[in-house]
Amino acid sequence: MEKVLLGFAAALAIGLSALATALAQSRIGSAGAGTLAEKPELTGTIIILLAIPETMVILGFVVAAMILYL
Amino acid sequence: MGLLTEHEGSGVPLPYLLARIAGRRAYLVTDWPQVLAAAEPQADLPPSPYRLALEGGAEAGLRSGLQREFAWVHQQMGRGLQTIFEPFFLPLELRTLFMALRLRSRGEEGHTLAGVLRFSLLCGPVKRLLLEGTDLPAILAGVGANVDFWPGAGRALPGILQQQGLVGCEERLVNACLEHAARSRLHPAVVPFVTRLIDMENICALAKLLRWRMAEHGFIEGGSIRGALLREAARDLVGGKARRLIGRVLGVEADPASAGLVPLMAARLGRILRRQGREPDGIGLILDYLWRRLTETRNLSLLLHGADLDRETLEREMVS
Repeated sequence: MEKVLLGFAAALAIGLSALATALAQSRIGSAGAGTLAEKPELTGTIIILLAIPETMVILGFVVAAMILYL
Repeated sequence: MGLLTEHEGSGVPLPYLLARIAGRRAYLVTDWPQVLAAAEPQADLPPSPYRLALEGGAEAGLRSGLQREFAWVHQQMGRGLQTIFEPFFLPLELRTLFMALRLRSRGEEGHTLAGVLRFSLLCGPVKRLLLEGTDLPAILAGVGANVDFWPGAGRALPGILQQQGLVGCEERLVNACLEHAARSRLHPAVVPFVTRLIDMENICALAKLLRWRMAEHGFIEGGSIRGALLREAARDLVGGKARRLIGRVLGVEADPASAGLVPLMAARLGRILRRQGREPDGIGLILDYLWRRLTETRNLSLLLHGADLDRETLEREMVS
């Protein structure tokens, strides 16, 4: 039973953070595409901005791993 | 069925459109007094990829540039956004419609008319009527059949044309369009725009009535000033009531006959829209951009035609 709960908690940790990342990236992505269409010189900045929400899912993955293996 | 064209599809995502509009907005002229202070204002305009150089005969280019920009914004929108912005685009396209009708009545060649309608948002059947029709009352009846904000416009317009000419038809259609917009359920960001636009039209009508002692033929309902107050002000030939009403709209009392009343009202509306442009839902930002693009074109046109005017007159007539 405990293993099931741990698995469920790990799934929530990575699943919710992945959903949040997807939502943030979809918005930043479409806004970034619009910005690039007007100002192509901002490519580097947009890539960095697009990568920032990625940290959420990475942290979610780390937390899920800690739940399962520590 | 309406007068405006409807683009298929759901449009681009709103954050994409807002980012593009924010990018384009950065190229708009913001400091007109500084432009006017330059030795050669036409040459010293800040550079923009979306603006043609102001040279001789650039008037048509200015108009078509504005139409092309509005058509681009309209095309990016989904059906929902197009409906929200109909009260903005429709009165403008009614002006295009009557510009085309005037060209048609003067017997201008087809390519001049096609140039006016090239980037217009009027729907295909209306454009075809304007390009191919020959009889003005029949064209108006056909256009009226497409009008969804005034049932029976198709039957009424030819009669109005006979009695009051194209000016009367234009006035009736624009008034009906704005009154319908004011009665409709609008997006909260569009409500002040429609209300202030109606106020502008009413104040202009009132100023004309008082200046030329014309017979009152109705104000547009739906503005921030009630029709009864406007009618009362129209009867007061001294103009005291009109001054107070203008004071309510502008914040400062001004003579209805004074020059520069329209730019003052437009500037006030611009400030309201700019404030709304900071709201997070993005509708205010789009409306602010469209309005600023419109006023920029008006100012550029003034700069083009008023090259011989003194700086004070230009500054008074410009919307800043």
